[in-house]
Amino acid sequence: MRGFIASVWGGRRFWIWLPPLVFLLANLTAFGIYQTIFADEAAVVQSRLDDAQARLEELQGRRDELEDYISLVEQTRQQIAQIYGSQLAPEEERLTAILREVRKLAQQADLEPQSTTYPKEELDDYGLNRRSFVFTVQGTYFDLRKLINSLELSDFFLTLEDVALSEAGGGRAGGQLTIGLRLSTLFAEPGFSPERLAQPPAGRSSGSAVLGGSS
Amino acid sequence: MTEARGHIPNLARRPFLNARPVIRVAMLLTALGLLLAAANLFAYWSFSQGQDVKQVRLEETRDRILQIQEELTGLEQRRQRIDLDSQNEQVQFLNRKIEQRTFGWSLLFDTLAELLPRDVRIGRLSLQSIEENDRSRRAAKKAGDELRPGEILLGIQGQARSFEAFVDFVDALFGSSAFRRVDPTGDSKIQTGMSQFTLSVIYLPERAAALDRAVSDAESRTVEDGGPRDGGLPDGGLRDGASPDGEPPDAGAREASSREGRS
Repeated sequence: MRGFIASVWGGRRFWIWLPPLVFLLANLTAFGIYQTIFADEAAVVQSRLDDAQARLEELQGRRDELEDYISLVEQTRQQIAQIYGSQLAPEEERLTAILREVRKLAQQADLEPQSTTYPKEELDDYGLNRRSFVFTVQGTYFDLRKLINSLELSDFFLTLEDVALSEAGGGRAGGQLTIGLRLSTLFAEPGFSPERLAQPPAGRSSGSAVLGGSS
Repeated sequence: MTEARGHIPNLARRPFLNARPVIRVAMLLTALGLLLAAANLFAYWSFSQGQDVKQVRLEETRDRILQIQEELTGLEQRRQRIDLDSQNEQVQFLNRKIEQRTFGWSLLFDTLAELLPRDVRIGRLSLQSIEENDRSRRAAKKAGDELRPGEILLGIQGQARSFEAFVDFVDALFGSSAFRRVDPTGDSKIQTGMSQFTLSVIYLPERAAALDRAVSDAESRTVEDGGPRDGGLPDGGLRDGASPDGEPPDAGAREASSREGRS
């Protein structure tokens, strides 16, 4: 039997099957080397890439959060500046118009103030002045309701702060009342910039209020 | 004969041996070797290509991380320059001012008219501007913190024919969902024998509007049913006083009582 195998596979036939076998073994060796060395190297690079991408996503999240926060603060600051620049513009821009409006509304309600005082109060913390219009008139309750209704519909930033009622002539005037009213409005201090309020020491972080959210 | 057959000489110059198994095995080995070689080549090619791409992406990602870190530093510096407390305080102040500006006095008059007892009249109503009072700023701020968005702090001065009437009014305010934190601050007898009182209260305009709507609905239902118009109101006489008919809410009370007297 051994002689038969030797005669079939051995001798010159050795060169028929040995080179393909060597070729196959060489490729198997190359495959093994790839699996042990190169695949590990690829996994290391992939792992570094994954880590870097995770870190990038985390930083992007923080940056987006911070940008949203700053954007909200900036938006609020712009809204404040807009209010200061329009509804609360300084006296030289709005005072006379408001005086005319107060007089017009009173006349429309058949209430004619004989005298009016204009006390002024500085609200330094907010860069505002509060100007009041205090007057007393004689009229009926209906006139008062008319005036209040007109005030509520007025485009001006006029606030009715105080209403005082008493019977005119000690109750003998037939429904006539003495009506004391205090209206007020706010004026921005000339040259005041609301941005001034958003400058200062570090270390504040919590949430931001939203202007006009409740009104 | 048998012996002769066992010694048959093989006269072929190259004796026959079957070579096909050897050739087939060699072919199979060659085919496998070629397949494996192709797989190795492809793996190496894709590895080298993939590594290049990954290295490039890794470098890009690292550059991007550095860039975002710089951006974050800048944003952090901007954030630290923001004085959020001041801005929030300013926003709250402005919101309160806007609430006061949009405050519905007409609705307040109607609401109070429904609560006023017959022997009480209101002499003064004022919106309390607590923020601006520097002298009592700390206390005011404390009170202001209790104000929720949309709520208004009101000061009320009035006169009552008796102490009981004054207490009834305070009870009515406590009992109404349109008011809360009723705070009587004082009462005193005046020359006419009336009692003069002052109190502060937090007014909730949204609740008052809801109550007003409910009362209006009840009124309209009563009218549709053909029932008496004032029957569904808690105090029809005061309701009359609140309407713009030339009489204040307190006068409405008197008018109601005089009507009763006439009837």
